[in-house]
Amino acid sequence: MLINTGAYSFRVNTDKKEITPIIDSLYGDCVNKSDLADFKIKVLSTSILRRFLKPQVSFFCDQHTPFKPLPASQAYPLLEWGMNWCIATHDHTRLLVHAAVLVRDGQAIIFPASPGSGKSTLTAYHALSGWSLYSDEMAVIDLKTGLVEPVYRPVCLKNDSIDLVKKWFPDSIFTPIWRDTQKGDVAHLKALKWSEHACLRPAKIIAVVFPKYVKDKELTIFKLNQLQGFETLSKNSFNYSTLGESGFNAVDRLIRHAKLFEIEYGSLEDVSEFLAEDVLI
Amino acid sequence: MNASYVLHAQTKLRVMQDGSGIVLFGGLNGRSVFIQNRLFGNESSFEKFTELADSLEHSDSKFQIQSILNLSEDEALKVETWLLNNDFISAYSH
Repeated sequence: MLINTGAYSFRVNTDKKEITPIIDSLYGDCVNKSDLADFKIKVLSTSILRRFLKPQVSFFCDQHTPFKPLPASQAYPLLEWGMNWCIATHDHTRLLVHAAVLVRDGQAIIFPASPGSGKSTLTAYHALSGWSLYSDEMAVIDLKTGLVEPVYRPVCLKNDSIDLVKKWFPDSIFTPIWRDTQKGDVAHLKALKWSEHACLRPAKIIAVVFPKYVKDKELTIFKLNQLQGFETLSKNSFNYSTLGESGFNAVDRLIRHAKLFEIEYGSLEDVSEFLAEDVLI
Repeated sequence: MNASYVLHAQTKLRVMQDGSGIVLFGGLNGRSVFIQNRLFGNESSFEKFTELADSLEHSDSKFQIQSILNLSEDEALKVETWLLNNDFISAYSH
Protein backbone atom coordinates (compact mmCIF):
# COMPACT_ATOMS: atom_id res chain seq x y z
CA MET A 1 0.00 0.00 0.00
CA LEU A 2 1.28 3.48 -0.88
CA ILE A 3 0.82 6.54 1.36
CA ASN A 4 1.35 9.80 -0.47
CA THR A 5 1.83 12.82 1.81
CA GLY A 6 2.68 15.17 -1.02
CA ALA A 7 6.27 15.91 -0.12
CA TYR A 8 7.08 12.28 0.77
CA SER A 9 5.64 8.90 -0.15
CA PHE A 10 5.78 5.65 1.83
CA ARG A 11 5.39 2.05 0.69
CA VAL A 12 3.78 0.33 3.69
CA ASN A 13 3.87 -3.37 4.39
CA THR A 14 2.14 -4.79 7.45
CA ASP A 15 0.79 -8.04 8.83
CA LYS A 16 -1.46 -6.07 11.20
CA LYS A 17 -4.50 -6.03 8.96
CA GLU A 18 -6.51 -4.03 11.51
CA ILE A 19 -4.54 -0.88 10.67
CA THR A 20 -5.40 -1.00 6.96
CA PRO A 21 -8.86 0.60 7.35
CA ILE A 22 -7.31 3.30 9.54
CA ILE A 23 -4.73 4.11 6.88
CA ASP A 24 -7.58 4.19 4.37
CA SER A 25 -9.63 6.58 6.50
CA LEU A 26 -6.74 9.07 6.76
CA TYR A 27 -4.88 8.66 3.46
CA GLY A 28 -7.29 6.70 1.26
CA ASP A 29 -8.25 9.74 -0.79
CA CYS A 30 -4.68 10.68 -1.74
CA VAL A 31 -3.79 10.41 -5.40
CA ASN A 32 -0.57 8.62 -6.28
CA LYS A 33 1.05 9.95 -9.40
CA SER A 34 3.70 7.27 -9.30
CA ASP A 35 4.29 3.81 -7.89
CA LEU A 36 7.66 4.89 -6.57
CA ALA A 37 8.09 5.57 -2.87
CA ASP A 38 10.67 7.59 -0.93
CA PHE A 39 10.59 5.12 1.96
CA LYS A 40 9.83 1.42 2.27
CA ILE A 41 8.46 0.83 5.73
CA LYS A 42 7.00 -2.11 7.61
CA VAL A 43 4.97 -2.58 10.76
CA LEU A 44 5.27 -6.25 11.63
CA SER A 45 4.57 -8.57 14.51
CA THR A 46 7.64 -9.62 16.45
CA SER A 47 8.52 -13.26 17.22
CA ILE A 48 6.03 -16.09 16.94
CA LEU A 49 6.03 -16.52 20.70
CA ARG A 50 5.15 -12.84 21.09
CA ARG A 51 2.11 -13.30 18.87
CA PHE A 52 0.48 -15.21 21.69
CA LEU A 53 2.03 -13.72 24.79
CA LYS A 54 1.61 -9.93 25.08
CA PRO A 55 1.86 -9.43 21.31
CA GLN A 56 4.17 -6.70 20.06
CA VAL A 57 4.93 -4.91 16.80
CA SER A 58 8.10 -3.36 15.41
CA PHE A 59 8.66 -0.60 12.89
CA PHE A 60 11.17 -1.10 10.07
CA CYS A 61 12.55 1.36 7.55
CA ASP A 62 14.70 -0.71 5.20
CA GLN A 63 17.00 -2.53 7.62
CA HIS A 64 16.59 -0.01 10.46
CA THR A 65 14.43 -0.57 13.54
CA PRO A 66 14.69 2.79 15.29
CA PHE A 67 12.20 2.04 18.09
CA LYS A 68 11.77 -0.70 20.66
CA PRO A 69 8.75 -2.94 19.95
CA LEU A 70 5.42 -1.65 21.20
CA PRO A 71 2.24 -3.48 22.21
CA ALA A 72 0.46 -4.72 19.09
CA SER A 73 -2.54 -2.53 19.89
CA GLN A 74 -0.32 0.54 19.17
CA ALA A 75 0.57 -0.52 15.63
CA TYR A 76 -1.00 2.54 14.02
CA PRO A 77 0.60 5.23 16.22
CA LEU A 78 3.90 3.39 15.72
CA LEU A 79 3.43 3.72 11.95
CA GLU A 80 2.86 7.49 12.23
CA TRP A 81 5.86 7.97 14.56
CA GLY A 82 7.94 5.87 12.22
CA MET A 83 6.97 8.06 9.27
CA ASN A 84 8.06 11.12 11.27
CA TRP A 85 11.39 9.40 12.00
CA CYS A 86 11.93 8.60 8.32
CA ILE A 87 11.51 12.23 7.30
CA ALA A 88 13.47 13.75 10.18
CA THR A 89 16.47 11.46 9.75
CA HIS A 90 16.67 11.22 5.97
CA ASP A 91 15.64 14.49 4.33
CA HIS A 92 18.67 16.74 4.28
CA THR A 93 17.57 18.72 1.26
CA ARG A 94 15.21 20.93 3.28
CA LEU A 95 15.27 22.61 6.68
CA LEU A 96 13.04 20.58 9.01
CA VAL A 97 11.74 22.29 12.12
CA HIS A 98 9.69 20.60 14.84
CA ALA A 99 6.70 22.86 14.39
CA ALA A 100 3.10 23.06 13.29
CA VAL A 101 2.36 25.16 10.21
CA LEU A 102 -0.88 27.02 9.52
CA VAL A 103 -1.54 29.20 6.50
CA ARG A 104 -4.12 31.85 5.75
CA ASP A 105 -4.29 34.04 2.65
CA GLY A 106 -0.99 32.56 1.49
CA GLN A 107 0.77 33.64 4.70
CA ALA A 108 2.38 30.89 6.75
CA ILE A 109 2.88 30.95 10.51
CA ILE A 110 5.01 28.29 12.09
CA PHE A 111 4.57 27.18 15.71
CA PRO A 112 7.67 25.44 17.06
CA ALA A 113 6.96 23.96 20.47
CA SER A 114 7.98 21.41 23.01
CA PRO A 115 5.67 18.58 24.16
CA GLY A 116 2.84 19.77 26.39
CA SER A 117 2.72 23.24 24.87
CA GLY A 118 -0.71 22.67 23.34
CA LYS A 119 0.66 22.89 19.80
CA SER A 120 -1.50 20.14 18.32
CA THR A 121 -4.71 21.37 19.98
CA LEU A 122 -3.99 24.85 18.64
CA THR A 123 -3.30 23.35 15.21
CA ALA A 124 -6.48 21.24 15.14
CA TYR A 125 -8.64 24.14 16.28
CA HIS A 126 -7.37 26.47 13.57
CA ALA A 127 -7.23 23.80 10.84
CA LEU A 128 -10.94 23.19 11.44
CA SER A 129 -11.69 26.93 11.58
CA GLY A 130 -10.66 28.09 8.14
CA TRP A 131 -6.86 27.91 8.24
CA SER A 132 -4.97 25.59 5.90
CA LEU A 133 -3.05 22.85 7.68
CA TYR A 134 0.45 22.47 6.23
CA SER A 135 1.74 20.31 9.09
CA ASP A 136 1.12 19.41 12.70
CA GLU A 137 4.58 18.03 13.36
CA MET A 138 7.21 19.35 11.02
CA ALA A 139 7.78 22.55 9.05
CA VAL A 140 9.38 21.53 5.76
CA ILE A 141 11.25 24.56 4.45
CA ASP A 142 12.86 24.85 1.02
CA LEU A 143 16.51 25.89 1.39
CA LYS A 144 16.56 27.96 -1.78
CA THR A 145 13.23 29.78 -1.65
CA GLY A 146 12.57 29.81 2.12
CA LEU A 147 8.97 28.73 1.41
CA VAL A 148 7.25 26.16 3.62
CA GLU A 149 5.73 23.14 1.88
CA PRO A 150 2.42 21.42 2.71
CA VAL A 151 2.55 17.83 3.97
CA TYR A 152 -0.58 15.66 3.97
CA ARG A 153 -0.57 14.21 7.47
CA PRO A 154 -3.15 14.03 10.25
CA VAL A 155 -2.98 15.96 13.54
CA CYS A 156 -1.84 13.82 16.46
CA LEU A 157 -3.93 14.74 19.50
CA LYS A 158 -3.23 13.58 23.02
CA ASN A 159 -5.12 13.05 26.26
CA ASP A 160 -7.76 15.69 27.13
CA SER A 161 -7.37 17.51 23.81
CA ILE A 162 -9.00 14.56 21.98
CA ASP A 163 -12.34 15.04 23.74
CA LEU A 164 -12.05 18.83 23.54
CA VAL A 165 -11.63 18.83 19.76
CA LYS A 166 -14.41 16.25 19.37
CA LYS A 167 -16.67 18.52 21.42
CA TRP A 168 -15.79 21.64 19.44
CA PHE A 169 -16.03 19.89 16.05
CA PRO A 170 -18.44 16.95 16.40
CA ASP A 171 -18.27 16.08 12.68
CA SER A 172 -14.49 15.77 12.58
CA ILE A 173 -12.91 12.50 11.45
CA PHE A 174 -10.87 10.71 14.11
CA THR A 175 -9.06 7.41 14.36
CA PRO A 176 -9.79 5.26 17.42
CA ILE A 177 -8.05 6.33 20.63
CA TRP A 178 -4.96 4.35 21.63
CA ARG A 179 -4.63 4.27 25.40
CA ASP A 180 -1.49 4.38 27.52
CA THR A 181 1.05 4.91 24.77
CA GLN A 182 4.40 6.52 25.59
CA LYS A 183 2.68 9.86 24.86
CA GLY A 184 -0.47 9.05 26.84
CA ASP A 185 -3.79 8.53 25.06
CA VAL A 186 -3.41 9.32 21.38
CA ALA A 187 -5.78 9.78 18.41
CA HIS A 188 -5.26 11.16 14.91
CA LEU A 189 -7.49 13.75 13.31
CA LYS A 190 -7.99 14.11 9.57
CA ALA A 191 -8.12 17.87 9.30
CA LEU A 192 -8.39 18.25 5.53
CA LYS A 193 -9.19 16.25 2.41
CA TRP A 194 -6.72 15.40 -0.33
CA SER A 195 -8.66 17.60 -2.76
CA GLU A 196 -8.05 20.56 -0.41
CA HIS A 197 -4.41 19.64 0.15
CA ALA A 198 -3.79 19.37 -3.60
CA CYS A 199 -4.68 23.07 -3.97
CA LEU A 200 -2.08 24.19 -1.42
CA ARG A 201 1.13 25.80 -2.64
CA PRO A 202 4.44 26.51 -0.88
CA ALA A 203 3.92 29.58 1.30
CA LYS A 204 6.01 32.43 2.62
CA ILE A 205 6.64 32.32 6.37
CA ILE A 206 5.58 35.63 7.85
CA ALA A 207 5.86 34.75 11.53
CA VAL A 208 7.27 32.29 14.02
CA VAL A 209 5.15 31.92 17.17
CA PHE A 210 6.34 29.80 20.09
CA PRO A 211 3.12 28.84 21.92
CA LYS A 212 2.73 27.70 25.52
CA TYR A 213 -0.60 26.66 26.97
CA VAL A 214 -1.17 27.71 30.59
CA LYS A 215 -4.57 26.85 32.01
CA ASP A 216 -6.81 29.90 32.55
CA LYS A 217 -4.01 32.28 31.61
CA GLU A 218 -4.82 35.49 29.81
CA LEU A 219 -3.02 35.83 26.51
CA THR A 220 0.48 37.18 27.12
CA ILE A 221 2.61 38.15 24.14
CA PHE A 222 6.39 38.43 24.20
CA LYS A 223 8.19 39.85 21.20
CA LEU A 224 11.42 37.96 20.63
CA ASN A 225 14.56 39.60 19.35
CA GLN A 226 16.34 38.10 16.35
CA LEU A 227 19.07 36.46 18.41
CA GLN A 228 16.46 34.65 20.55
CA GLY A 229 14.57 33.67 17.41
CA PHE A 230 17.69 32.32 15.72
CA GLU A 231 18.76 30.29 18.74
CA THR A 232 15.33 28.84 19.52
CA LEU A 233 14.52 28.03 15.92
CA SER A 234 17.83 26.30 15.26
CA LYS A 235 17.40 24.23 18.43
CA ASN A 236 13.93 23.14 17.27
CA SER A 237 15.31 22.01 13.91
CA PHE A 238 15.87 18.30 13.32
CA ASN A 239 18.67 18.79 10.80
CA TYR A 240 20.16 22.25 11.38
CA SER A 241 23.58 20.87 12.28
CA THR A 242 23.53 18.26 9.52
CA LEU A 243 22.75 20.88 6.88
CA GLY A 244 25.75 22.96 7.93
CA GLU A 245 26.05 26.35 6.27
CA SER A 246 22.87 25.97 4.21
CA GLY A 247 20.88 25.39 7.43
CA PHE A 248 22.55 28.42 9.01
CA ASN A 249 21.63 30.55 5.98
CA ALA A 250 18.04 29.24 5.96
CA VAL A 251 17.43 30.08 9.63
CA ASP A 252 19.09 33.46 9.14
CA ARG A 253 16.79 34.32 6.25
CA LEU A 254 13.75 33.18 8.17
CA ILE A 255 14.37 35.28 11.27
CA ARG A 256 15.21 38.36 9.21
CA HIS A 257 11.89 38.30 7.39
CA ALA A 258 9.48 36.91 9.97
CA LYS A 259 7.85 38.40 13.04
CA LEU A 260 8.96 36.54 16.15
CA PHE A 261 6.73 35.95 19.17
CA GLU A 262 6.36 33.77 22.21
CA ILE A 263 2.84 33.52 23.62
CA GLU A 264 1.29 32.08 26.74
CA TYR A 265 -2.41 31.40 26.39
CA GLY A 266 -5.35 29.80 28.10
CA SER A 267 -7.92 30.34 25.36
CA LEU A 268 -7.68 29.46 21.68
CA GLU A 269 -10.11 32.25 20.77
CA ASP A 270 -7.54 34.71 22.12
CA VAL A 271 -4.85 33.12 19.97
CA SER A 272 -7.06 33.41 16.87
CA GLU A 273 -7.65 37.08 17.57
CA PHE A 274 -3.94 37.68 18.07
CA LEU A 275 -3.02 35.92 14.83
CA ALA A 276 -5.64 37.83 12.85
CA GLU A 277 -4.92 41.26 14.31
CA ASP A 278 -1.21 41.31 15.11
CA VAL A 279 0.41 38.70 12.90
CA LEU A 280 -1.32 38.44 9.53
CA ILE A 281 -0.49 41.28 7.20
CA MET B 1 43.44 43.21 26.86
CA ASN B 2 41.62 44.54 23.80
CA ALA B 3 43.26 41.92 21.65
CA SER B 4 42.23 41.83 18.01
CA TYR B 5 40.95 38.81 16.19
CA VAL B 6 39.90 37.69 12.75
CA LEU B 7 37.23 35.17 11.92
CA HIS B 8 38.51 31.72 11.09
CA ALA B 9 38.35 31.11 7.33
CA GLN B 10 35.61 28.49 7.86
CA THR B 11 33.53 30.67 10.18
CA LYS B 12 30.41 32.44 8.97
CA LEU B 13 28.94 35.34 10.89
CA ARG B 14 25.55 36.99 10.89
CA VAL B 15 24.81 40.27 12.57
CA MET B 16 21.28 40.56 13.93
CA GLN B 17 19.71 43.56 12.26
CA ASP B 18 17.87 44.54 15.43
CA GLY B 19 21.19 44.84 17.29
CA SER B 20 20.47 41.89 19.60
CA GLY B 21 23.77 40.15 18.93
CA ILE B 22 25.72 38.00 16.53
CA VAL B 23 25.61 34.37 15.47
CA LEU B 24 28.72 32.49 14.41
CA PHE B 25 28.67 29.22 12.48
CA GLY B 26 31.82 27.12 12.64
CA GLY B 27 32.35 25.28 9.37
CA LEU B 28 35.00 23.07 10.99
CA ASN B 29 32.74 21.65 13.69
CA GLY B 30 29.21 22.43 12.43
CA ARG B 31 28.40 24.28 15.65
CA SER B 32 26.72 27.64 16.11
CA VAL B 33 27.28 30.15 18.87
CA PHE B 34 24.92 32.95 19.84
CA ILE B 35 26.39 36.02 21.52
CA GLN B 36 24.17 38.70 22.95
CA ASN B 37 24.90 42.41 22.66
CA ARG B 38 24.94 43.47 26.31
CA LEU B 39 23.59 46.93 25.45
CA PHE B 40 20.74 45.63 23.29
CA GLY B 41 17.79 47.97 23.61
CA ASN B 42 19.97 50.98 24.27
CA GLU B 43 19.28 53.30 21.31
CA SER B 44 22.63 55.07 21.45
CA SER B 45 24.58 51.82 21.14
CA PHE B 46 22.62 50.52 18.16
CA GLU B 47 24.38 52.48 15.42
CA LYS B 48 27.81 51.71 16.81
CA PHE B 49 26.96 48.02 17.08
CA THR B 50 25.69 47.64 13.53
CA GLU B 51 28.60 49.63 12.10
CA LEU B 52 31.21 47.57 13.91
CA ALA B 53 29.42 44.31 13.39
CA ASP B 54 28.86 44.87 9.69
CA SER B 55 32.60 45.15 9.14
CA LEU B 56 32.91 41.76 10.84
CA GLU B 57 31.12 40.02 8.01
CA HIS B 58 34.33 40.31 5.98
CA SER B 59 36.33 37.38 7.23
CA ASP B 60 39.66 39.19 6.93
CA SER B 61 38.63 42.18 9.07
CA LYS B 62 40.19 42.40 12.48
CA PHE B 63 37.87 43.17 15.34
CA GLN B 64 37.62 43.50 19.10
CA ILE B 65 34.91 41.40 20.66
CA GLN B 66 34.68 43.48 23.79
CA SER B 67 33.79 46.71 22.01
CA ILE B 68 31.36 45.14 19.55
CA LEU B 69 29.29 43.26 22.08
CA ASN B 70 29.72 45.77 24.90
CA LEU B 71 31.08 43.10 27.20
CA SER B 72 32.98 43.64 30.42
CA GLU B 73 36.68 42.71 30.34
CA ASP B 74 36.04 39.46 32.21
CA GLU B 75 33.18 38.45 29.93
CA ALA B 76 35.15 39.33 26.81
CA LEU B 77 38.11 37.24 27.97
CA LYS B 78 35.85 34.20 28.53
CA VAL B 79 34.13 34.61 25.17
CA GLU B 80 37.40 35.13 23.30
CA THR B 81 39.03 32.11 24.90
CA TRP B 82 36.06 29.92 24.10
CA LEU B 83 35.87 31.10 20.49
CA LEU B 84 39.63 30.61 20.04
CA ASN B 85 39.56 27.10 21.54
CA ASN B 86 36.64 26.11 19.33
CA ASP B 87 38.16 27.41 16.09
CA PHE B 88 35.66 30.20 15.48
CA ILE B 89 38.32 32.95 15.52
CA SER B 90 42.08 33.36 15.23
CA ALA B 91 44.30 35.92 16.93
CA TYR B 92 45.24 38.83 14.66
CA SER B 93 48.99 39.15 14.40
CA HIS B 94 50.58 41.98 12.43
